Amino acid sequence: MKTNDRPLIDDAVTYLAGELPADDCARFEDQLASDSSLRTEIAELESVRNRLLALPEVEPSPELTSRILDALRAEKQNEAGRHGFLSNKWQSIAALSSLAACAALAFVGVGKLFTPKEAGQTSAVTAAIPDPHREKALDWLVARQDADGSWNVSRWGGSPKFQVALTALSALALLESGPQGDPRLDAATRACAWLASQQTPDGTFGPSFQGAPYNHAMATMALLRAQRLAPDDQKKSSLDRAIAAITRRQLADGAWGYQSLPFRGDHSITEWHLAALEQASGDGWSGLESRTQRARAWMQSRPRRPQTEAPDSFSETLARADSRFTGPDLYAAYFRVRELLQNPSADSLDRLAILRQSLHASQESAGALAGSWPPQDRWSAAGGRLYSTAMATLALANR
Amino acid sequence: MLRVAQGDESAFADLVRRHQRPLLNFFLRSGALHESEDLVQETFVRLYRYRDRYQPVARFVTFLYHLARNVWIDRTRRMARTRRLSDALREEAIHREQTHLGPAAGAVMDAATALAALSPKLRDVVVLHIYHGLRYHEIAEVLEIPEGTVKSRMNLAMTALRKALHENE
Repeated sequence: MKTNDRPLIDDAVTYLAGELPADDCARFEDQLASDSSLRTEIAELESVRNRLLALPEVEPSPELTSRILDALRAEKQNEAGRHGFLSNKWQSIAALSSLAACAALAFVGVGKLFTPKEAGQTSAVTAAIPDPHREKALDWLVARQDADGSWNVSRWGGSPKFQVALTALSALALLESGPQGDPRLDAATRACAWLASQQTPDGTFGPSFQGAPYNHAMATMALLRAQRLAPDDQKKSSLDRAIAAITRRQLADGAWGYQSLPFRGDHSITEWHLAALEQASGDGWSGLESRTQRARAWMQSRPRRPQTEAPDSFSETLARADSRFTGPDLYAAYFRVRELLQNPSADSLDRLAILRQSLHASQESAGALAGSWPPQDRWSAAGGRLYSTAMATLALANR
Repeated sequence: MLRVAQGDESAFADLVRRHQRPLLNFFLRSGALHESEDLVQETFVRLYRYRDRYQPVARFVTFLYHLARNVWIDRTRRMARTRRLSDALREEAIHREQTHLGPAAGAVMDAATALAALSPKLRDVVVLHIYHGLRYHEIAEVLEIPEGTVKSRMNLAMTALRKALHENE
């Protein structure tokens, strides 16, 4: 049967679906008996169906039933105020949904930013000139830090489930703030202490939910960076358990995945965890090389899915970022800066200056928000002002 | 569901336990990732809210997936301003497979990727029929489209899936 034999193909699909009317079904089966190519067609369609059915199903997390029933009790109690409940709930869902993306993209950058070889280094193309805009941003972050060392993510438009991730991003920005003794490092230290306090008995950071691996990887990166700057036994112990959790959750094929999709590796999550392990390995944790090699092999063996995966190089990242850099895209700006710092060329200084000017221009300059960046890029609607400010601040770092 | 309408909370708990797993997989296969459990929860909240409107004229699952579908539509509308990760992933995967990989590059499209690469309209009918066992007329009710459209979308989807899975082998 030719593949352009549309009516017969359609009948084959409908037949397999059990939706062919009785008369047509009998006629089709008569034809099937005498037409070997039609039988081949049916076999191929059945194969497609079987391959789809062979895909594993995901089990709900153990607490889902109680979560739903709690929500229903709340709904019952608040039926009169239903619209307010729904509005809040949906804001939470909307924010949650793309925070993983923003965090993934940010974290890829963070992982590259804090590679071991960069420890203590300053780019050759830029001197450590104080940037008043970056200074204001760091001040804004410090001033909005809560007493416990974290940031109130909801207050700034982010999803509370990612409080760990956004606190870690802010801590990473502060950890780049200057030499030892800089008072902003105190804020970073308190942030890292809070992150450590969020560690659960199994070594992971933050609440248990599907996007939890993002929280864990980013918190691990922040603590690794803090440990590099100011080593102590407490952080070391916390990191030992965090790294053990990462290694424990590595899949047999070398990847990592969403918490509720333990059988399936995810590119962005794998890259985050790989970046953490590579940094840990560079900082003296032993026995991680074979794991990082397996993770890299997994990433190389999978078809690339741009935007959620790790780029092969900063050039590739830049190329992707370039094509989308049409607005106040802090993520793209960040990667542009990193590329220019790490691979300097003759015009790098000029290009850096242009980028930094554009970042400066988009910074809030008056009022209580002065020093922050408005949540206007494609991810900050989920990560809120905290994300946009932390990312812009990281983009303004000199190393 | 009739017991639920009468305020029987234990009946609702039974419904949750019975249908949360299929619903979770419905959202995952529709393109949701980390937010899928929130969407399951929202579907049950709406089910509870609409308990008085349920009429046992059709299978309960038709009503349930109609609600789930609406939850998903609302979700995607709200996220229109900031592209969802899963949408971006799907679009990028399609684009890349069409422009960069192809059979010559050795890319073997697995069933999950092939399903994800379908357009949402085609994927909806495949997910509801293959994974949730809905008949064409039930899918028509869930998606609020004519049954003939369900049939044509299913045909197009299966043809595309066969092409993706067999021609890349």
